[in-house]
Amino acid sequence: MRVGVYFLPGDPAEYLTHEALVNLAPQELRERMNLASSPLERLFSRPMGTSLVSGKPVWSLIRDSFLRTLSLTLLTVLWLGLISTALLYTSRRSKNLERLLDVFSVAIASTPLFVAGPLILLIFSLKLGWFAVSRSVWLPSIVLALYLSGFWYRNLKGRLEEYYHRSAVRGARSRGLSESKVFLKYLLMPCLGGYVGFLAAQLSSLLNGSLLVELIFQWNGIGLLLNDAILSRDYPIIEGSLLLLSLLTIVILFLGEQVRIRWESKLK
Amino acid sequence: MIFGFPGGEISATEYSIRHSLLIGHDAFGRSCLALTLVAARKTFLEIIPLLLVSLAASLALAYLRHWLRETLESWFSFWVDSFSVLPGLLIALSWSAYFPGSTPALWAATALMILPYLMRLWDGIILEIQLRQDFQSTLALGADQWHLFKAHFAPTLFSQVVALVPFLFTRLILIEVTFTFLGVGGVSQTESWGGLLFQGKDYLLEAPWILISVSAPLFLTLFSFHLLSKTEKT
Repeated sequence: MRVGVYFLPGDPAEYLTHEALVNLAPQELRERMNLASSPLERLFSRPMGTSLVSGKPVWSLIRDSFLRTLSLTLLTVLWLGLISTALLYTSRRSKNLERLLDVFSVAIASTPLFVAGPLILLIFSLKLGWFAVSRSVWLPSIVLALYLSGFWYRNLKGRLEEYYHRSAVRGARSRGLSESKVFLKYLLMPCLGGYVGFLAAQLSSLLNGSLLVELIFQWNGIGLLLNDAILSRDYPIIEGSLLLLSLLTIVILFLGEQVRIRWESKLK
Repeated sequence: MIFGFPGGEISATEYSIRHSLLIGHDAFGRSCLALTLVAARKTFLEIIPLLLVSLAASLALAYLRHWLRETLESWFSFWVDSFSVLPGLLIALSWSAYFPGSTPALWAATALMILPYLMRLWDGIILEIQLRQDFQSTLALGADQWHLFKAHFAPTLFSQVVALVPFLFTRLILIEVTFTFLGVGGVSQTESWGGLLFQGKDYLLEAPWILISVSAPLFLTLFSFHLLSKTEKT
């Protein structure tokens, strides 16, 4: 990104002021963007500074937006866990239900977020009034969880398949344990480590989905901040947001993998 | 003819004049059915060459990667794996901020999202072929690169490509519609599916039929390709 702004031909300050994207004089914009310094200084200067549009510190804007996205993501993960578990449990009841849920998961995966989101908003917020139209985290998290549940259901079903025919499960059933206890203790619990690892690996799809959901439901998270920054070519916010999200993805991926390895070694 | 030969932009207004009203008008008085068909045509004409180029580029890069020196190979893997785990939509969207709104920018952003995924896929398949006993024995007997490619890689990769095409179609359609919904690619004379959905979102309360009439064909297209990819896998 830095190479794109600072090293490709052309003057980014002239471009931004010419396109009326930033309301500053070119010289002031050049000072803010540090274009007067040497190439090495430009490349390794602090990634965050002040926003070109609002003049506010980039870190404070990103921090506030990130906390809102974090609340949306955590709630989405909770709903996702509940919905996926319910779908997996229901699919074990009968073959017909399993086939129906397979078709249902494909149907969900075929409905883009920006189609399902506004329709759900129309029905549950505007017509029925069950949820607030904007600035509420409940409906966006449910919509995002529903959208991802189709994909998660199919993946987790594949993971659970290898545990269905194990002797521990057969033994538990023969001892008269209820189906729900067998499902929770002998199927879901062994998969939990892999579930956490899978969740960490799917963080990128969660963040991608949160961008669209924040746009539809006007939730002031980092996705909406990034989208506004892209439209107004506010490069410090774009750089800062991507840096934070990339670091977060790598750290969570590493932690998720560690949890999965330790959980599976404990089970053995 | 709606799905005619590619060549030039088609104005939705022209279609509205020739096609009768079926579902409703959008905010500018154009037939929703005509708009949807024009947008679908535009999407397919953009997706097909993008699919072919992505497949060819990813296959070539993944194949060449295995014949690089170890240091270069590990660096290559690092960048491909990094791109595939990072939020691709946000990165591609941010990348498009550095280039003015244009169709090539849209194609490049779409390719940025699909290439890492494809390269990891081919990587796994090529590695699996290299570990096979028949490949190892052919290599030990001193077969040249062309013979190895023709006898071992080409049959497996070709069958995987055929099985993967419907799934890739859904993925590329979804990516293209998402980008045009978010405004990547600028404004063109022909409406895109994503642009129509954006308009439908804005007029949700006053004219919900705009969103419904545009999203129903999109859903049916994606659903059909998903079912086709599941059938091909089995």
